[in-house]
Amino acid sequence: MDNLAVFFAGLTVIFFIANAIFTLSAGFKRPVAMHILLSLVLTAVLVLLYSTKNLIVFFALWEVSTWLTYFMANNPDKSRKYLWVSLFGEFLMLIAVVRTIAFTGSMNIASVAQLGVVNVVMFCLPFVVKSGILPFNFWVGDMYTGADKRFVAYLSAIIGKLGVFGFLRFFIETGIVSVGLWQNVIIYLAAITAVWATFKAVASEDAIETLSFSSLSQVSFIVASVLLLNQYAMLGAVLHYLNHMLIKTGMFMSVVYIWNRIGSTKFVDMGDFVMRMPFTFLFFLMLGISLAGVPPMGGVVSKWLMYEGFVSQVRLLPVLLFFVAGVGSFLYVYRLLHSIFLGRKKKSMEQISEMNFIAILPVAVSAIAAFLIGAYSKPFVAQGSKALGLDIDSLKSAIGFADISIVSIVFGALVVFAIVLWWLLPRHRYVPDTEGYTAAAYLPEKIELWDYSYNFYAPVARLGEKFVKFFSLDWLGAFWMEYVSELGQVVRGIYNGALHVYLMYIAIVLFLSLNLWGIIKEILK
Amino acid sequence: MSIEILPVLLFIVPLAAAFALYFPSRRGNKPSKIFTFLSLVANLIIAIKLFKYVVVSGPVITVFSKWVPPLGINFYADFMAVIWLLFGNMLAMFALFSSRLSYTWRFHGLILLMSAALNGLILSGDIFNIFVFFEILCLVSFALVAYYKRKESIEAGIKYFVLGSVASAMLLIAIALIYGKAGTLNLAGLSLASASWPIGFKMLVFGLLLIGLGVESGIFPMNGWLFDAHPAAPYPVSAMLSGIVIESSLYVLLRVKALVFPEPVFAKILLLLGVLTFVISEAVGFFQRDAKRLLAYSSAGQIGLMLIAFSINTTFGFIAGLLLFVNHLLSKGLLFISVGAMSDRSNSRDLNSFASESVFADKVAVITGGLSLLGVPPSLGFVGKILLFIGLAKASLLGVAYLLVPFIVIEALYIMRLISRVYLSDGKGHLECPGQLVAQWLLSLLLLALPSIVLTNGQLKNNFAKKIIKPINARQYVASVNGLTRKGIDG
Amino acid sequence: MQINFYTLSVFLIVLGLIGIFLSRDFIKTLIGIAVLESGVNLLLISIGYIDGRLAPILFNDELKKSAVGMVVDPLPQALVLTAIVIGVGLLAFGLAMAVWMNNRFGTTDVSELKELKG
Repeated sequence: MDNLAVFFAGLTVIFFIANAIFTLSAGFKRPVAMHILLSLVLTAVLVLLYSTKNLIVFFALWEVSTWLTYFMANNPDKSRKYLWVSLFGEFLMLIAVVRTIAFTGSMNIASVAQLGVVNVVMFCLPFVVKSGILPFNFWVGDMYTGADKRFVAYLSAIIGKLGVFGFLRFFIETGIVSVGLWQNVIIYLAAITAVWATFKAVASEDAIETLSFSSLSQVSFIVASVLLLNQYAMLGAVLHYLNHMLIKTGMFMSVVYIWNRIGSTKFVDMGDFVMRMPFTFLFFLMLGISLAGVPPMGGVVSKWLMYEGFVSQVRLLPVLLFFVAGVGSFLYVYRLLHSIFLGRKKKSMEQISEMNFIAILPVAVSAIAAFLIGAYSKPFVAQGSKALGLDIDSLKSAIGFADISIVSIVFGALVVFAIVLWWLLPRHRYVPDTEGYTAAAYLPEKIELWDYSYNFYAPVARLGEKFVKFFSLDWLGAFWMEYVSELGQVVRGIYNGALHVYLMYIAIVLFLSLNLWGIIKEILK
Repeated sequence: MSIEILPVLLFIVPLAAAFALYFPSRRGNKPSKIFTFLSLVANLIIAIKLFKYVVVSGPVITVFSKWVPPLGINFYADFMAVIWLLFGNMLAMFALFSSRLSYTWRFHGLILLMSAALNGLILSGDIFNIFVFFEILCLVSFALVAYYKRKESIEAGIKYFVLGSVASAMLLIAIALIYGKAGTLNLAGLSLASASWPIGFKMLVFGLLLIGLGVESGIFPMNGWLFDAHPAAPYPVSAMLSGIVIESSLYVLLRVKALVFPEPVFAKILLLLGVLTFVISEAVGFFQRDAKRLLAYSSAGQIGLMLIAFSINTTFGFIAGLLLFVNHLLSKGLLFISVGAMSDRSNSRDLNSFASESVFADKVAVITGGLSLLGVPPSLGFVGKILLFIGLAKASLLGVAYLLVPFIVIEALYIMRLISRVYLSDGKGHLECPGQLVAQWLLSLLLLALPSIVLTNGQLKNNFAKKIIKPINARQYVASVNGLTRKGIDG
Repeated sequence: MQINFYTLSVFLIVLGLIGIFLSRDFIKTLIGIAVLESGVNLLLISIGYIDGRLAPILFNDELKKSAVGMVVDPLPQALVLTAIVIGVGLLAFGLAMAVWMNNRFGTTDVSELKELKG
């Protein structure tokens, strides 16, 4: 197992343990034993996947992980798009694998590059598909929102980023250092995907949907950074893998815990949970700051490195788009915090209580780790660069440097100052309130019509509406389905059940076999 | 007991049992089923013995009445044949074991005759014997498909009957022409004689053979009956039909093609037909709402894949074809047994309602069978598909591979549609016959264990490499048959 | 006029095939199958026929010693015997199915077979 494998495998195993602890203690109403067993199998498969350099083993394990993910999501209707688009990518990878084995005789990933760009693109296609980059982004929404809630954290934290690992392994093995056309195309596609996903997250009314599109946005950024083949960008990508895993672990687990209690993940059903779940709020806040890429939390370390990479390669358009996506992430992070923990109290408050100690442990650890990455970034940066075989240990590059520790100290001082202020200044009175004041007017039943947390970012959503609709590719899917259905009905007519028709087919074969030689002779005469 | 009698026993035991069935049948359905099962178990044991012998020591040739080839009849059991025999008999045993207790002695007798005909078909070394066994097989299949005598069964039976009769007539014409040209019926002799035939004549005969064997084998465009016969037939019959009958016809077609029609143009024709069969069957299968009909389209598709695999003409293609065959036989047999049993229990074959009476064993069986069929690692189907693709690459036929990819994905989609209905059902059905349960569990276990056995058994891999090329090599076949100096047995 | 048996058998085969392809009634299909089988059997026998020779029955010593040059090829005759029997079995089964069909559908019209399709 080389360093890259150790890094990824270690993170996956740690996540599995955290997820198992959470799943056992979060109070799921359905049995979790089978689920934990399956995720153990999936973790084992992934660890093997990380450590192999053999083409066939890599492909086989990749396919097994796709199928296992499909089964664990436990929602055949919504996971269908994921399944077929993943399989399609995988079979093209199989053709690349087979070509490599047949024409170069070697079974190592490194030799994929020997057969030209087409082979490389076909091999890397599943990585693009798994990362949800355009034009393969249409499965993400359905898969995440429909997935079994016991599994969705795993999905986001590990599976969503398998593509990242794929690209890293591919580039490290083949030793490609030049950024060719296909990489540039994917970088631009990733940039558009990041902005698209951010808009979708901002406009969403469901916590899981927001988090899933947020994942997609971050993963696009990571993949684009890897494809840049710049050492800062790749280091940033690896660290962002770690950061994103921590963030999404904590966030998804909190939301899933809430779902366990109130049965819904919609924002309109949540509000003011901070009164009952203060610690969850605190950790969620820390993770949200990290997600937005703001110091002193760790998110800034990886984001800084990635931005450095892009800017030093003078790729200004993609980095601008990613920056837009990053700013958008402030919006939806605030939305999450406000709509879940702050804001108006809803009926569901009665069912909410603080997460029990064991269940909150992974969330707490993630949040504290996120802080540590920011405050004491050196060891993490060193680990990440060891994984890549690089030698960087601080945030210093050719064009600038950042010392987050200073920011953390300043931030810490400000926090202390804020606490002192809070202690000294007069408190506000807390007035319980579960229903809105309506001046005796009749309130409509549908809460969406009058609760202000619904459609929170309407102006922003309207801004991006056409853009989002276009890149959701639904219009393409509808067109394609219609075309295929009609074609399919015609093909179906071949077997229309009439005996005479079947006999006619035999007659045609008979006719062909009788006349073939004669016709050939006629033509040759 | 000399080893040459084993192939004959494979044919005689079920035949004799079919006649002796009279005695248990007088006592009822259950004794008749037990007797049939015991004779099929005996058959399987004989097949295993023969398999072990042939894998180690090479082909077994049984000669009848001391008439040495090319004058007499002989049975030829080489490596490819014994694999077919082993798994075919295994499936027959499982299919019968899972059959319902309401099936009478007529059903059991027909199953025994089908088993006898299949064994004879695969073993026979001359072309008229092939015809005779083929006819027995066809006739028994017609009867079994129409077993229930419902409206749809009779409809399926009649369509199958008419197509099958035309096919057998075409086959006989082909045999007549072959005999007229060559003067011998023995496959080895034909192989030698066919080197001097004009290509036009060969095309004509090949076309007739293609109709004759292709109808039974499920090759496009002659497979219309297949999709009507499967929904209508009883589920053990569907399992055997889809699992072994169509594949045995394919085996005969391939054997004859390898020996008598070795020119590359015939391989190209089979490749084209294979691609067409696969593409069209999978495309139509996607729209099915009837569970068993859906599986029938998947069968035809897999036959197409096997045709492609066997006509690539490299080692990889051949091994891929064998693996696809074994994988399809076991997984489709398992799927038909469980899906068919569930349909029988819930009296419906519609996708939305057939799984309403499912049991836990059904879920296990369907998931195992379905994933093996689709070639999810680490099943045999996966190894088969990889070898198929490698073979296509080595034969410079990657265009075919690109064409196959979308349809493999389509197959995955509709098979998963079927499977998801089963594993999402609540699994509280009532079993009439515990045999279904046991058969499903055993077949699932076999499917799960087989890949590890095959892939890790060093001896098997060595023998594969040495003996695989031989069977389909006409010269080896002919040499081994003509160099015969063993004493024959009285047949 | 010499009857060319090959032509006759091909004629019968084609007649049978046309009968099968164009018949709407199942019984007529069966008759077509019977004609087809007859044609094929005739073809098979006539392949073994050699002009001016005797039937392959060795009824005296002279024949037993040197039959090869004096009798017709006996192998196709054996084949045809088998084929005729097989044909009889097929037809018997076909007629049984025709009876079942009549009982279930009330008719033997093949275009009534329209339940299984697609």
